[in-house]
Amino acid sequence: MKEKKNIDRLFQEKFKDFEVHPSSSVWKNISKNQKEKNDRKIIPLWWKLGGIAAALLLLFGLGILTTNYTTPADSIPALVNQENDLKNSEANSSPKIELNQDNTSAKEVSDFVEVEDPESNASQEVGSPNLHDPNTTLATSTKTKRSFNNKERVASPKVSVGTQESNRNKVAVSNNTSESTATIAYNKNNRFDSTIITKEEDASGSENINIKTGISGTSEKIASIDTPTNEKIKATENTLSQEKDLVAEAEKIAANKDEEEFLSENPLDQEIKLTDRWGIGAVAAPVYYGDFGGSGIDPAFKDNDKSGNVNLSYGVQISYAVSPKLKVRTGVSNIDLSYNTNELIFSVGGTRSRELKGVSFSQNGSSVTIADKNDQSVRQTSSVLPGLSNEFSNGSIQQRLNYIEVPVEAVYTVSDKRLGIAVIGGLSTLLLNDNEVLLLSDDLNTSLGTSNSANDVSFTTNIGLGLDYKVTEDFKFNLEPALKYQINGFDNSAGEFKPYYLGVYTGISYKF
Amino acid sequence: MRLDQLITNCKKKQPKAQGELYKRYSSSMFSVCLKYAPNYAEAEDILQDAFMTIFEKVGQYNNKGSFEGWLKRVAINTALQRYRKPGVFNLVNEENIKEVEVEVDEESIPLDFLLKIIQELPDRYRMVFNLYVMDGHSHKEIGKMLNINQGTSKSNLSRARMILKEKIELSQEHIQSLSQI
Repeated sequence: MKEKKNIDRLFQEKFKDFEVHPSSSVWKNISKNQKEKNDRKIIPLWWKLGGIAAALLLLFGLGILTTNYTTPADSIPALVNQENDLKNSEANSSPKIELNQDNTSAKEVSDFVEVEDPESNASQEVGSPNLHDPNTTLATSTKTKRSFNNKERVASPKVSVGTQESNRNKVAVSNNTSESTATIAYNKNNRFDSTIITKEEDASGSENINIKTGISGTSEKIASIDTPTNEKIKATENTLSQEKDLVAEAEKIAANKDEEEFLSENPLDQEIKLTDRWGIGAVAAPVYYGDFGGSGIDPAFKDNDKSGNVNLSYGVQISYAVSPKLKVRTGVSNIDLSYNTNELIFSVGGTRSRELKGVSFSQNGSSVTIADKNDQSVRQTSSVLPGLSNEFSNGSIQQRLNYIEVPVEAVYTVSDKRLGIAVIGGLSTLLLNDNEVLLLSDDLNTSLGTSNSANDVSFTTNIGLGLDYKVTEDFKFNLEPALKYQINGFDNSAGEFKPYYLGVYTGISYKF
Repeated sequence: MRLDQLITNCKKKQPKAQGELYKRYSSSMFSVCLKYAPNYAEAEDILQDAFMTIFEKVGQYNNKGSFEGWLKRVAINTALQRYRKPGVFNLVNEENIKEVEVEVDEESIPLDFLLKIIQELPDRYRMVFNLYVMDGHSHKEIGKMLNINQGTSKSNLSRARMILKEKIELSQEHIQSLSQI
């Protein structure tokens, strides 16, 4: 006889040791998913770093652009400023125009500016409810018109506007549509007249602002638009892209770690102890000054052999731990750099017959002539005073520079054991403190003057490797070899000098 | 690796520990998933989702109570979330249904047949049956977990038992008639 069993019990007993292996695809999907999640977590961190690096780059890039870019002496920045004024004008969004009429005070003649519709052969319309001048007559027309509003704003380069006849002083080109024209209607001695201002490119390719008076008047050029030369743009673009490369390299080095290591050593939700985030330290380094070509003295010496010297840099640092693996730091250092330009000949006596583009000679150097060893012409052209021999001896020029360096760097800890390893990247601002150019030879060392091509403010992009030894929990001894490539160190009058310096920074730091 | 070390490493999101955890517990968890899912494929989906939840939320396990129990609860909750639907079966007033003992002839019924008929149950009945019979929850607890009232839980359980019994008896008749040929 079959036994009746409670159905619950039946199931319970049967499934007691029930175990089934899932197929391998399940784990594959799970681990794939986990990896994606971790990648997503890493990316925001690098975006943050990248964002900081990009922001710093942008800042310094702007700094470079503003130092290189010169404005013409007689520019009236009326247009750029007026754009801002226009922004603040009434909701009617009509721009104001200031015109001088017969040298009397400027009056607000019309606050209506229109674009001439090129399709229609219309006469211009002047419409203004705010005319102050009772002499102005209103002309109406039924033409279709397009009026500006402040929303159609086009960034315009600085325009130099020369002064015109007395009754057309400050002229506002308020806006730009696809045609680069603006029409200004004004009242001139009770006559209705018009002026058309257009922005055109002339045969040489430079952009000019032309003004055409009256409906059938001729067009005359009143201004040209100054834009930074292509060379300058390219130079800054090159340095910017070099900066970007170096920073990207630093990031790549830091990013090319094993993912697992990253995960195991950096649980992103682990809190750093709220104490111990700050650090201060002192740093000293022997620094070797080298270059990637060019000359800081004169273009003629671009290919000369140069030997870098080793000098001392010392300073203090302060750092802040943003996360267990990442620190940002800044500080202030004093850095001495010098290098020699060799294969030169010089002669003392008479008047100097060779100018060095990058050197501003002092009284001392007024009678020294220096040239490249292979320069034949100098021997002939130098002036000889009677009684003095025209002898050239071998020598070299030493350029010495002293900067105050303010670095801003990020330190990424690769390994945090007793002997730690880190990767460092960042930027420094260099402020020229002192500089000297000297002539060195077997017989004499004499000061020639100072450099006139070394910029007061320059920057470096830094990349380095950090090794540190934890003496105690709070004290660390650091050894950090670093390469710093100088940007904008010299203006290009001397000879496109591309210097860098290598330092082995040693120091101690204290956490608190 | 010891379990507490394994759990600690999983909390640190170490991939090796996560792999080890899966190796140790995936089979027992998959069994749970198979009972709660209507078929093998969905059981795998639930298992996958459950483990992803486990890896993410292992930090919430406070080392109190059985770890395996915690894992199973995650798996069950994952299944419930999937099949918990607003009261489709709440139409009839089911408070008055009495709980009747349901019995079957205990012959050797193959395990995979029993699994099959569980999976064939309508979602709600399947949930309730598993939660009550296989995992020992009370109707009160089931009510909270499925957002139904206790009476509904009881009646769902009865219905589930009836369906299972019918299917078992049907198959037993079928086997019997075959063996008589």
